[in-house]
Amino acid sequence: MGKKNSKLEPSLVKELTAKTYFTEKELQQWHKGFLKDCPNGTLNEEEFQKIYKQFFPFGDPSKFASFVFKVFDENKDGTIEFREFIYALSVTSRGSLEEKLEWAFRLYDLDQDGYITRDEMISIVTAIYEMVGNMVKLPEEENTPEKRVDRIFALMDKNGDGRLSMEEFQEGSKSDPSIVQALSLYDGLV
Amino acid sequence: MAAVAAWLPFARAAAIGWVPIAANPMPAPPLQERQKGEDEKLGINVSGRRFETWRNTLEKYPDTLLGSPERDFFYDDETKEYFFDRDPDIFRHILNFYRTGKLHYPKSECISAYDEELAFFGIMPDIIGDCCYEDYKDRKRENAERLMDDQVSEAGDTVQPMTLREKMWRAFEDPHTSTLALVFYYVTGFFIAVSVMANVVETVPCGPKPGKTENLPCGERYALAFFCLDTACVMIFTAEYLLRLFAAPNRCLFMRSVMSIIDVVAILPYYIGLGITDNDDVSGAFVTLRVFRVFRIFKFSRHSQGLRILGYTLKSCASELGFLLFSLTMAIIIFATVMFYAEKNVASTKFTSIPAAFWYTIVTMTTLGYGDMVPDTWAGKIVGGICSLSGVLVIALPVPVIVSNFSRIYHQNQRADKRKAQKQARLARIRIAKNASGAHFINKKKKEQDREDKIKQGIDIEEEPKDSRFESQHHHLLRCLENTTGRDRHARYIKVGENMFNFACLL
Repeated sequence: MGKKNSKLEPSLVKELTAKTYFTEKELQQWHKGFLKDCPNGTLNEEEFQKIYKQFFPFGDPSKFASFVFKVFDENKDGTIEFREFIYALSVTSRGSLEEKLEWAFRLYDLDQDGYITRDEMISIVTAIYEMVGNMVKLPEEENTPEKRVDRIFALMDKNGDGRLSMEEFQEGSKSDPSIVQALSLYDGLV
Repeated sequence: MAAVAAWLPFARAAAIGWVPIAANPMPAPPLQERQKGEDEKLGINVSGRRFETWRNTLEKYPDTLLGSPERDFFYDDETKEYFFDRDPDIFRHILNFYRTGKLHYPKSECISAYDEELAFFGIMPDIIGDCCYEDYKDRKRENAERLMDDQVSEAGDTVQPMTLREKMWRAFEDPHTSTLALVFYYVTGFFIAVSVMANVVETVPCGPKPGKTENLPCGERYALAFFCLDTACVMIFTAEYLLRLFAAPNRCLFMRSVMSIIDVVAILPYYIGLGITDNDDVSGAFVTLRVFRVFRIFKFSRHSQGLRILGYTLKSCASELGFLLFSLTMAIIIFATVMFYAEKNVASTKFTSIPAAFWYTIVTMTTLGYGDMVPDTWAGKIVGGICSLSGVLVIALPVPVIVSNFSRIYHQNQRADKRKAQKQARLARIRIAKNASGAHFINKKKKEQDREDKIKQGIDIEEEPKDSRFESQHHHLLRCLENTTGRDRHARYIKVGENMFNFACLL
């Protein structure tokens, strides 16, 4: 009562129901929750980092959080609006295998040039390792980001040009059954 | 961030990014607790009072604490129920909201307590039903006004006055700030009293001057003495006025304020009297001016808070007083007219005109009844009777409003004073405790350090009585901090000790 934008505009609702896997009721619910925590309707990087810090308090999730923020923020204006938030949520929780892999590709491709280079992948893996902190003990031969990246490139880089294209990435991931199974992990939970 | 649990899917989005580079396969997700179809009763224990409800009832509103997974934080595994350490009486209303969809506000509860509970359970006050919404809003506004008054009165206590001018102004406004201000306050009060007494005694007949027969008032018999006294008082008042004018932060505003006008009116007659010579033409005006000297008694309102409250009450009841005056005037005119025409034909009647009848009407309506004018005809007597009865009613009507206003303002002032006194006492207590505890803390630290050194050297130490857990953990924390930053120990510990103490006082 009295709140200006506690309900979504009908045009936005139509657009979102068409483009995402959420129903209108779910969209309204998400919108209410989104507004409760972000009263001005947008989420900036600082708050994004805070949320991640709450979930991963043992390490330093800031680098990874900023990469994820970049992927969420499609129009690159420095804030996540509700629309961008719902798109990302729809893809990651209800999207098909290809859509999820495409989202992950966008996450790894830091400069958005359509190719994942070794350095980009090393940055991502380093960021993930930082997030974990001291919790997980990795086997000795894999405990550096570089070694991990080498292993991945060996598996996926078919034409050996030192970088992964979208097709190579998707093919390589689909051929690994554990990846396929893991990507469908959270289906139906959101 | 309120509902951390609500952001879980958001954080799961990150998991998509980890998957392609994961070294090991991901673990299976936690099984859903139950199918969507089943329902079960949940037990909620609020400070000992048990409530039970269906799970679906609570989940009707998933953006509140009880409707979202946040409630699992309060789940007690042993008793298999949710335990909240909150007010059970107010919780009843909150649970009713889930059941009926309407939130009611109980009139017997304190508005702040209710708001706190609502905030804790994540319910917005906007959804209070129409039946209780007005009452809720009124109470909230009242509370906010009261809090604002209190805050305003408490603000501005601790600013240190800088210049001499500011110090003087502060001394004038609040005589308790320094002994000099207090002395000044009492001296001016004394002289006001002396001046007023002199004005009064001046007019008392003192007996004839030696060698004469006429009985003179004291003012004329001891004219010189009274003149000197008056001069002295006016000197003091003039000095006080000029000092206040000098110290005032905003001189124009000060000159327009009521108190300064009273000051000016109190001393002006004297100076004008000095200017006027003993001339018959203007002696009438001179006498009038002497009347104004009585206004000096209003200067007492700086010294008496009750007088100020009375004045403030009258000002705030201006509308009621205006109504009283207006209705009285109406009634006077009506009754005076009727009386005049009723008594017109009586021979040698006192009611010679309508304005003459006004005096009779006023005296009758206020039930004074001097008896210098009485009606003779039976019509006049009837009218006189009605006049006195209605007078009682008309005057009695606005009086309770004025009384209640006065009472409210008086109590408000008392509350403000009491709170100020309490705050002073509390600050004094804190100051004493702080000085004691800062030193205590450093001693403890030294003792701990000595113990550690002795242990390192292998010297046997006797078991000291164990400190509280908090203290030992606190020491450890500070030592970590010390090692991390490697800064100077003592200076920082004093600051940290103070901060910890301040924090503890706020709790």
